[in-house]
Amino acid sequence: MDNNKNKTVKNFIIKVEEVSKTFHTKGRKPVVALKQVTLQVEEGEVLVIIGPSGSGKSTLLRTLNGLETVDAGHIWIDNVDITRKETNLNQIRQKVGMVFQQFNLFEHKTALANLTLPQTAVLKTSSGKAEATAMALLNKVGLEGMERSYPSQLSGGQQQRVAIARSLVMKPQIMLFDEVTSALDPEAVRGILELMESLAHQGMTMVVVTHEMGFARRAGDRIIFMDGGEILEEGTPQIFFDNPQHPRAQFFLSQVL
Amino acid sequence: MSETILITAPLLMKGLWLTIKISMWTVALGSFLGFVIGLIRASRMKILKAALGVYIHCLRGTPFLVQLYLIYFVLPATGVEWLKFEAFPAAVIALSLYTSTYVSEIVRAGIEAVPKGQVEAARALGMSKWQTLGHVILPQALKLMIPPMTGVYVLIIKGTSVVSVIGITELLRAGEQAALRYPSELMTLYGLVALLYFVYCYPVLRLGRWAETKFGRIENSL
Amino acid sequence: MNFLLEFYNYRILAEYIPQFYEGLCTTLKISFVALFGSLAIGTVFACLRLAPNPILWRLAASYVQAIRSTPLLVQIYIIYFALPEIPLLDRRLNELEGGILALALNAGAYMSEIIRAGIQSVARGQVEGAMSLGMTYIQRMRHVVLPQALARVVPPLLGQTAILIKDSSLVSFIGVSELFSAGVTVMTERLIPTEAFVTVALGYLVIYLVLLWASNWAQRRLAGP
Repeated sequence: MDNNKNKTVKNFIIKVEEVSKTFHTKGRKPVVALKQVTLQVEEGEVLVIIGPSGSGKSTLLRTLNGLETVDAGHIWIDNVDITRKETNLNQIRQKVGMVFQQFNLFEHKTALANLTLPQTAVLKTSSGKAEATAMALLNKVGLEGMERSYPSQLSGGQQQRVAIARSLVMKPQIMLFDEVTSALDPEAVRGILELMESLAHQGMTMVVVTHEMGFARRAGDRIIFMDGGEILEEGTPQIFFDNPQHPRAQFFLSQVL
Repeated sequence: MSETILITAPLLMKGLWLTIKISMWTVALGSFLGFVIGLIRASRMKILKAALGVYIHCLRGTPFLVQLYLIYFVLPATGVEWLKFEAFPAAVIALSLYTSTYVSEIVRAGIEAVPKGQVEAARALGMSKWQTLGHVILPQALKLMIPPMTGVYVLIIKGTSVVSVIGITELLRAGEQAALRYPSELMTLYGLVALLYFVYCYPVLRLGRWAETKFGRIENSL
Repeated sequence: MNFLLEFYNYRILAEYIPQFYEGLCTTLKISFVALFGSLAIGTVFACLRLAPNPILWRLAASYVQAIRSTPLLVQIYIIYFALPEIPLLDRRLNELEGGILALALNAGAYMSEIIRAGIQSVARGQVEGAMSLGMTYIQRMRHVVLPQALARVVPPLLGQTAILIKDSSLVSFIGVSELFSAGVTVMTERLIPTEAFVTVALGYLVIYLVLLWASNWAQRRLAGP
């Protein structure tokens, strides 16, 4: 992009600069998960990260809310450098919602309590208000009447709906999705993807790690292809899916499509 | 201090030897008894199972010290000739009964941890009950039993210290006798006794941890 | 009736009801105090054991290993007979204090292992879920980890309490008059070992059954949906 011609300075809500990360496990070879990764995400953008397993895409996603620390480089969320020690990560995480592959709902709490707890504990909302917000969101994700159920009493798809709703109670500016449909039955996958697409239409900034190529093409504003801890290709869904340039991206697409 | 250790060393060593002897007898007898009880507990013999459940709760529900007194003092009082035990057999029998409750629960948990599909596959191949037990269930269950079993053996070794009350000069009583002779060296002598128990128990505990990483662990209700 | 009297002479025994009652109370009192001590010790050492600092967790691991590898009776003797004067007390521990301290230190090691296993049994994802919502360490512990750990820890802790109560019989060796020593008194004064120790055994059995019932109840109650 030529900044001299295009004078409008874009508002990047996420900036990742030369981030590297290596995992060390006792008795095993160190694994390089991220190699000097640089990327930006605009407000309201839906960025989809794809790539083979072990490519570092989940690690990259998890660095964005500090669940994973980085060895080198910087990450700015809403202009706050979260790789600095002084940064209060808990404040950042209130702005950055995350949905996991295994849902990670609090097993000892009902669906409703999963949504009220973060409000009362973190946001210090009154319990009456928290409950109203929670009920509204549970209805919105299609779980009327399920609020008293425990996670173990819900299907995978229902649990993931609760998990998405739980992230939304914090009114995040950014949502991270870490292979959220990988643990679900095929029927449940569609519903979750539709829910995510409707979120995208409402203008939510989203970073999505997924194997669902249909979703990437429909909902993604931009695709990133990663392998071996590096971003190998980047582009709009149309350009990427119809005309991939990098041989490894071509190979990957030939395998999954 | 070193002089005291040198003088009392033969006494303590004799005590340690007796501790080892009692614990080895108990390991053998208690494991055998517990194994049989565990097999029955994992079987479908309803009445026997229930009876052994009562046996286990009675032994688990009372201190070993009380059991030892019941066997050493109360059984002879019944007047039955073969229930009059010397101190050493009384100690081994009491410890073995106490041990058997732990062993049996481990054996039962080990057998129940083998997936049901294994039994079904064996029976589907035409193997008999006993063949299934011997060739399919036990080989898998035994591995799972090793780690918790080491815990029981440590329990036995520590349990032997209690039999000093019925006049067996095992390690702790040997330490007490030494302490009577050298009352000013109490800390050294009891410290030494503790160290000897540690030297005996610790390798067994380590073995258990090693086995646990190698064979995995079962949930047991110890 | 005569047959019963021959086997179990409840008439003599009736004279000793106060001794048994006091012994039972002492047993429960010792166990109760030692239980709280051991839970405090156990919680502290479980947290140390999980600390990232290698000096701290090694220290906690050594404590647990040392306690697990030596008999309780030896620990009681060391604390009661061999420990010198306590600086703040300006005297040595009496038999009751020594017994309780030894029991608490001993059970504390086992409690710490149970508590540690409970904390570790809470899946990593639960913590990450809480972290992703911006919960602080304290909030995560209080609202997510500890409630789940507690549900898993209560039944084994009750089991360990049963062991603690049984183990408390060993403090009779240093002269504490508790339930077991009441039995010894009856045996030596009236030479009726059967009545003496069957009664003691029944006393312990009743305590055990109450705890067993509580453990089962807790397991059902805390198991969740």
